[in-house]
Amino acid sequence: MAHDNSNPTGSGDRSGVDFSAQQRLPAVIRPLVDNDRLRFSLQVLPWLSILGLFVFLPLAAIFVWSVAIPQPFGFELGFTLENYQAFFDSYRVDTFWTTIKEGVVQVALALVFGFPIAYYAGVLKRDSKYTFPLMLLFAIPFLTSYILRTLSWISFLGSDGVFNSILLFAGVINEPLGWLLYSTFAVRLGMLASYLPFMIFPAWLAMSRIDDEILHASADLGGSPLATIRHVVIPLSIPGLLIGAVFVFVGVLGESVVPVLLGGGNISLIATIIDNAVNSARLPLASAISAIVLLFAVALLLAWEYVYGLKTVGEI
Amino acid sequence: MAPNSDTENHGDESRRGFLKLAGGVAGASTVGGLAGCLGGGGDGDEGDEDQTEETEADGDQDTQTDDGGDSVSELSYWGVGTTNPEDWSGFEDETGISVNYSAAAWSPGETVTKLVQGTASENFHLAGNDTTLTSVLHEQDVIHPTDLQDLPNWEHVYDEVKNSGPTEIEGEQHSLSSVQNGDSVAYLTDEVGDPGSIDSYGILFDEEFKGKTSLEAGWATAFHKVALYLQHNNMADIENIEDPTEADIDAVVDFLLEQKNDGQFRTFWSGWQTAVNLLSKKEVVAMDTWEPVVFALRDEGMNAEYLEPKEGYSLWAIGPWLTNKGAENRDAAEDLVNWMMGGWYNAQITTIRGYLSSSELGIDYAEDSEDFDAEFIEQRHEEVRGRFSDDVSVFGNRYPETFSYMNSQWNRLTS
Repeated sequence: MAHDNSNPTGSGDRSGVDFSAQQRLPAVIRPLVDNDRLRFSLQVLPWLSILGLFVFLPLAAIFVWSVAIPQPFGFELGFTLENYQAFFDSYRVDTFWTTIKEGVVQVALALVFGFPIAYYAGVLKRDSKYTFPLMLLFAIPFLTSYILRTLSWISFLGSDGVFNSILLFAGVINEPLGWLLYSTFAVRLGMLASYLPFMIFPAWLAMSRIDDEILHASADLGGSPLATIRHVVIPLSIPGLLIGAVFVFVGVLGESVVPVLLGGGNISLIATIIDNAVNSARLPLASAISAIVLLFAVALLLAWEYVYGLKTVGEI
Repeated sequence: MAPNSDTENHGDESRRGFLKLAGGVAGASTVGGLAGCLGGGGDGDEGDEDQTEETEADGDQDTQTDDGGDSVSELSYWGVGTTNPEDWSGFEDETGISVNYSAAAWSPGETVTKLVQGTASENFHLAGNDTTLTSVLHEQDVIHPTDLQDLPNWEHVYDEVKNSGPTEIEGEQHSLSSVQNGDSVAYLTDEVGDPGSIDSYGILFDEEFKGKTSLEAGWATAFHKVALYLQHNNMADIENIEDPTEADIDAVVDFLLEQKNDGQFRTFWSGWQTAVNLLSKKEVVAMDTWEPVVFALRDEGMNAEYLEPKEGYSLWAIGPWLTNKGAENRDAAEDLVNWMMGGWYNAQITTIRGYLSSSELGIDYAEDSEDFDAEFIEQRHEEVRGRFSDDVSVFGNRYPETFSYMNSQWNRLTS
């Protein structure tokens, strides 16, 4: 039953709520506005419409296509689990788990490399006028082509690349290190370079909002810098770190450029498998794999909600 | 069923029937529909006026055709870059019709999807891609035969080219190949050895070059080379290289997977620049690739050779088809096809790409022109024609009955 928020007594007791604007509305509209549930519905309608059009509609198509019946030149709408079976009965499952593993590895690497940078900028140098411009430098790579940015690593990692040349010149190695390029190492490095800013920025924002007084209090109480990081900075920046982790992990789930260009077929992620299915005119299979990845991501979020509660994200 | 195979049930229905079932559902608006975005040229104004041979070259007026459908001031050609001479002005000068060229990938699946389920056949007058797709495209009614009587240059086309692929269906010529070659392996002589001592695809799998060889990421020619190697050396029972069975595919892919897991391949390459860089930077010393890569390496001063394999070459050909739209403007479209078998185009294609064009008209043209090296063109034509007439090279079907299985298994290899 809708809650009527109007003032039936007309006593003028507004209890801190100003109804004057509503009362000036035409009588025809007033019942719509006075009804809390209806008003809420009208308020969220545009938001829901946009969400439905741009998010849920494409997702719905993916799920519909994922159970469509494949044909030589496309598919026929219907219901079959054949596409899911083609995923579970093949090498694609292994690629999926490799992707999950690499996602976790990337999150860990992003934390290792991103946390110190965010801490330096958000805590140690928070008052410096150079901090913000310097942090923006991390956004510069996004202004260039992702493919070219990835290809540029070949110049550094190749047999006659910069790294091998330096090591050879320094006498550290006698012959070029082949594993620098077209390897799991190269893919991890390439992805780290791409996704590190996704960890740094939210972590930096979270840390920069930690009150100076709290940091000073920790020091006044005899806390060493490491103790302050452990007991103050990390707990208070968890929302930012969590958002960064989600960005990085989801990015790896959709990554198809770096493994192809730097992996040399030695490591593959699930997005490449989806690309291959699309290019082979197997849209239902591609949709089934996408649906599985999506459901896995949703399951992860639900697990997080169950363990920690998603409200913590909002505390940033 | 083969290990790790996909579940597929194509049944006994004809491909035509499948198309009707598929009905252009969402696929047409997704993958196939993209073809429409590639920018076919305008139709020009249509008219019923009597038609003449030629019009003014200023292009504003529509060209008049005899009995070949509507007039047109611009032709849209969607073709593999290999067939692009990079200058179409000669055709416009001759006919008054400009050519709006759009690049297509040499990707059988994508090409068939865009033509059959998408709108490419309605958007482009001509589509140029692998000639072995002719049969399936004919079955789907998205290409149309050409009238050879309207193609004066046809009589000059080499017999090797005329007979090289399944381009004639039910007595009618559909695809008219304009560019072709026999592919093998590029290698660095300083690293691998003297050309006189190397005559097998085995260099790709030689332990001496472990981690220093590479295969193309796509299977279109790589599969046939490896199948030739396995068959010729009795290393596997390959029933049919041109139209491989699932067992044939398994034999090749399993062999390559074993090689890959042993660390034989540095990478699976794709794209021209990557191919050149891999060899020029000596990341690899032997690589299954296109012949022009060798020319590019030599231009850089490197000692590179293209393998003359005892197992035979992987032959291919690319040529234009008349699409549904092309059939509506038949005269103009056939004029362009004829031009692509003519002197300047022939000379230009062999000069800039090193590939075999369709006839000796290119040599004749080059002999009368200061812009081309007739000797080089003649030499290249002789070399490649020899590959087409030997008894070991194969012309693999790029859209076999096992197409989907092939893709799946090849992806298993390269993933």
